[in-house]
Amino acid sequence: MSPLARRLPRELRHNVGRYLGLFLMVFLTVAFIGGFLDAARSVQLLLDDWRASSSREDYAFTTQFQASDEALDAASEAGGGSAIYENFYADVPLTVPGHDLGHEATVRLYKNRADIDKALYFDGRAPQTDDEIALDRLFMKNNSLSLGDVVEVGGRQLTIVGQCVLPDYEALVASNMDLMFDTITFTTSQVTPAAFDALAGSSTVWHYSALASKRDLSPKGRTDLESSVARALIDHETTLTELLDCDQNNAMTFVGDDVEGDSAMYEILGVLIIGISGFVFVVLTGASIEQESAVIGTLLASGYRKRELVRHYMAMPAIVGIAATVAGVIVGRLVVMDACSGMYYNSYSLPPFRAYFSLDVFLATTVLPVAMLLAITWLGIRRKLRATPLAFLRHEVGSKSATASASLPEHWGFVSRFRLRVFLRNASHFVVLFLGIAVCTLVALYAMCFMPLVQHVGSQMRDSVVAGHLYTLKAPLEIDVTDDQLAVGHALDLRSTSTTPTGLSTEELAAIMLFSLEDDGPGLPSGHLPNGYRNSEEALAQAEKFSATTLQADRLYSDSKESVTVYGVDEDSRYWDVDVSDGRICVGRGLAAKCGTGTGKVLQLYDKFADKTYALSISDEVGDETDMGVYMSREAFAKTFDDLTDADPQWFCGYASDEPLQLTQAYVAGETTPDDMLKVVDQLETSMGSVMGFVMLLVVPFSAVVIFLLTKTVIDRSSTAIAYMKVFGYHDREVDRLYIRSITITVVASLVACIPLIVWALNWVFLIGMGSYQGNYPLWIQPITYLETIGLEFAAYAVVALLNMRRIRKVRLSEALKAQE
Amino acid sequence: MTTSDYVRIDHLRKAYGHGDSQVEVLHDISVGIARGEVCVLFGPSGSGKSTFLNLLGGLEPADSGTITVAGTDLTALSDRDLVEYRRRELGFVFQFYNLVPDLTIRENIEVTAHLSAEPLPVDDLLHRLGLWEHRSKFPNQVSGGQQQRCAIGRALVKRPGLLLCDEPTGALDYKTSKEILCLLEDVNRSYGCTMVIVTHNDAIRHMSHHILRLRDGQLVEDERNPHVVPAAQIEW
Ligand SMILES: Nc1ncnc2c1ncn2[C@@H]1O[C@H](COP(=O)(O)OP(=O)(O)OP(=O)(O)O)[C@@H](O)[C@H]1O
Ligand SMILES: [Mg+2]
Repeated sequence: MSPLARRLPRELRHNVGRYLGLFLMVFLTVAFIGGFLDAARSVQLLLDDWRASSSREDYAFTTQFQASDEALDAASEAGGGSAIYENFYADVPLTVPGHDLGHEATVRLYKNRADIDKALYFDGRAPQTDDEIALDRLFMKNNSLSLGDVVEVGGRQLTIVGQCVLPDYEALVASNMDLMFDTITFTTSQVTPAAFDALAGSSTVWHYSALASKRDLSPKGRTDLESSVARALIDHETTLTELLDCDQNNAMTFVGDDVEGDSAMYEILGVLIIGISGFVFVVLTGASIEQESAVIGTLLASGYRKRELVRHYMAMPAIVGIAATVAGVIVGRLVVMDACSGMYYNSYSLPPFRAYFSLDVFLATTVLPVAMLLAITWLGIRRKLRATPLAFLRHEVGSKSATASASLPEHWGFVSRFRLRVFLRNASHFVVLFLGIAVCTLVALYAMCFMPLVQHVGSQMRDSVVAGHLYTLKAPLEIDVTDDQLAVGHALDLRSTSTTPTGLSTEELAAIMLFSLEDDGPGLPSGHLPNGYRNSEEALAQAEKFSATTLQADRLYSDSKESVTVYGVDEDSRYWDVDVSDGRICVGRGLAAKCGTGTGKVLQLYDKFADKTYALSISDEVGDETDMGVYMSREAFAKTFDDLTDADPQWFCGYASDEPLQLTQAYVAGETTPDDMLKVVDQLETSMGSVMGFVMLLVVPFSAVVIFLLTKTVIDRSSTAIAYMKVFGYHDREVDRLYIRSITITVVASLVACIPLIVWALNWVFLIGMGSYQGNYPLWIQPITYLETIGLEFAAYAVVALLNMRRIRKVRLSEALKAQE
Repeated sequence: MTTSDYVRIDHLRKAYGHGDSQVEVLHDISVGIARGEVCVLFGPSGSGKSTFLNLLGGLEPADSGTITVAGTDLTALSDRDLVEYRRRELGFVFQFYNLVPDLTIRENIEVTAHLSAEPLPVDDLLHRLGLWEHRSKFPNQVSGGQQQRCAIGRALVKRPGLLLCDEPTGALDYKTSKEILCLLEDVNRSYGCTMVIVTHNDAIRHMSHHILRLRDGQLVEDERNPHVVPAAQIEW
């Protein structure tokens, strides 16, 4: 070992602050990023295991009415021998006797599952008697429910005996059209088959889940198979209302996508931060090299090789970097990983956490940062030591760059010239400082703007629900009915809610009754179904029919597809403010941004059930940046989608109404109110709040350390000059004014200057980061958020400035007297 | 001058700057230095003494001419070989001692001892340099003379064939300067290493074997001193 190595412990002692700072930078990064990536990978592996062990479905479909055995057999055959299981469910309101949840809640009832999508119990057991129920873990947690509590479902009291998660609801997404999962007002559940039959009634959704006989089909292979299944069902007179591949079912893809997206983001952040740490190492070591330039010159003159000195100057960064990485890995694995996995468990219904070891994550969070740090430092030091021995002896290293020795206008005041000199002499420090501040501010701004953004988007989406109530129907249902028609409608409703002793399906019954209506006179001219309830004249007057269908469109920044709803609306609609006269077609601005369409372009839409493509020429863009709809007149709609509408110009499948309407429940597919959109906001607040706080824990200390290290070096390398100034009679305060002020100006200028850059970068982060989410999320930053972010970073700097002032006070006069040359 | 000279310099030229602002600092210098000589180099400030030393030490390339040390032509060496040359052959002592501030006196010497396969025993050297009591102190805890002794020790410990001293007493008082000169003399006698000492102190000519003088980059004096006086006896 070189005798120079004996300096290292002393160097460490004399520069504790510097090495502690460097240690902290790497430690924080490795602990946070490493802990996060460990957690993320564990969740991914956990899900893979769970998918296999729980026989999670490959695809599922929903039929309008219960499918016949022949239809199912045909479907199974068409699906290459798929095993198709009944997986009926019903959404029923849930309340807790003697306890106000503060919101409505819906429970999705399933029968105890045995063959497919098997439940996993965190606690308790599956229901065994008809007054027992098992609920989702997260819903129970968010509503403070525990085993033994009694809930009321459809008028019956059930005791919670199990806390479970279902593999087809990793994320509690109630409908694939939903923008967000919902762990507050929605829960899955299991009950006994008898309890299910008693509770579900008319709200039963005829849902079937299937396992393909070959479990390793490619996504394309599976979609082809599913198309054949759909065709087989349709051939057997079965109407499909949904057909979902597991890869397109948000309840099953949300978590994976989220974890993957987060991991990518954290990886990028990690690389950026380690890169900056590397530059900080270089700048600091470079400052030492400059300070020791005479010694280096002497050593080189006496025959030391460059290589030996490079090795010497690498030693401390290497030791600190490796020690910090080791400590970071340990703390990351022991503390941060649990905290991070906890964030996923706040959002998703996952099986119990288990830490997995995966080599690539381990290497990426240990060897990679160390290698990056050392490579950057090595290059930097080598560059710095490139000068000749003589240059070192003459103190020509570093400080004599062209800018630093530039002549400044004489008429400037001394103070501004001096400050500019400080700036120029330390330009490389300030460049790294700027980079560090920019990256930290980027992350901080992202974290700080996220919740306001969500709230903003939430309220925009709320406004975009054009009516107080949007009802979607399974079939056209006329509400303006005569008494006779009403009676038939009412009978239909009753039939559908009770069992049919005749053995007729509701569908068959409806056909018979409609036939009778037409025969006897008061038939509906349109051939549509009559409503079974009377609505007031005022309600009828303001309710408006619309048509809607959901198709797929290509996304601009993602390979996946966006679900797009096409609306057919009245030309003089009181609810939709769009001009759809003369066959004009309009798109929402959100859709235009998300899918790269717009005025004068042709929008391609795919119908994955019918395997059909529609090309729509767009005449106009409407709405705000969250509007994801396509609008045309009802007549144009009927003509365009004649498969759906039988080219019936009177066809429709929904009502927009400010007044609530009473409708035959069996034909209602869904109801949307503006407040539904706010649920998204609530959900994001519940599950994302801690994520954002977590990121701040990394970036704020990190930026403080970066600022500290770099500004401290500026002062350290000027200590001889400062000593001289003190000898000449400067007061500490006057020295502060010259040095601290120039540093402060630079820091503040960096903060402000990096904002436009950051906003530009964030725009892309959002475009690409949110590219595979349903909906459009344009970047929107409240002015106050800028101030908050800058304020936070500046507060971190203020602490540093105080430390620096102390440092200036500590510069001793003897330093000037000892100075050589 | 004979071909058996330890150092052989022929038609050495060195200029700084480019184009119009080019200044030739050394004009056509030719000189030989015998093995074991104490050679002193005088000259007014700016006459090119340090430049001469730097060329001799292989720190800077010459523009033309040759420098041969112990049979090796420095001007033909690559950068890498120049490092090897310095490692094997050369010791440097500067006016400002350039010690490593966070290594002790002893460790500062060990830093170059490390470069040689057969360095002088460090303890002996410390005794001889009168630094034994101070060996564990840091440079800022000892006097300038002691620091310079340490710097000399550092240069000597790897047994250099050629010791180059640029104003070794420039920063020291009379008494301390004399001590340093005695030390250099002692070193020359005991280890037989050739020395080139740049100085402004005319009295030093009496203790040296060979006297050189530069003026405006010209070698204006190149004489052997037939009556070498021990360093302890010279005064100024
Ligand atoms: N790197 C350089 N670039 C340009 N000119 C230089 C350089 N180094 C030295 N000079 C010039 O070369 C001349 C000789 O310099 P040198 O340092 O050799 O003088 P010196 O005799 O050692 O003087 P002193 O006794 O003051 O140390 C001077 O005029 C100096 O200005
Ligand atoms: Mg000189």
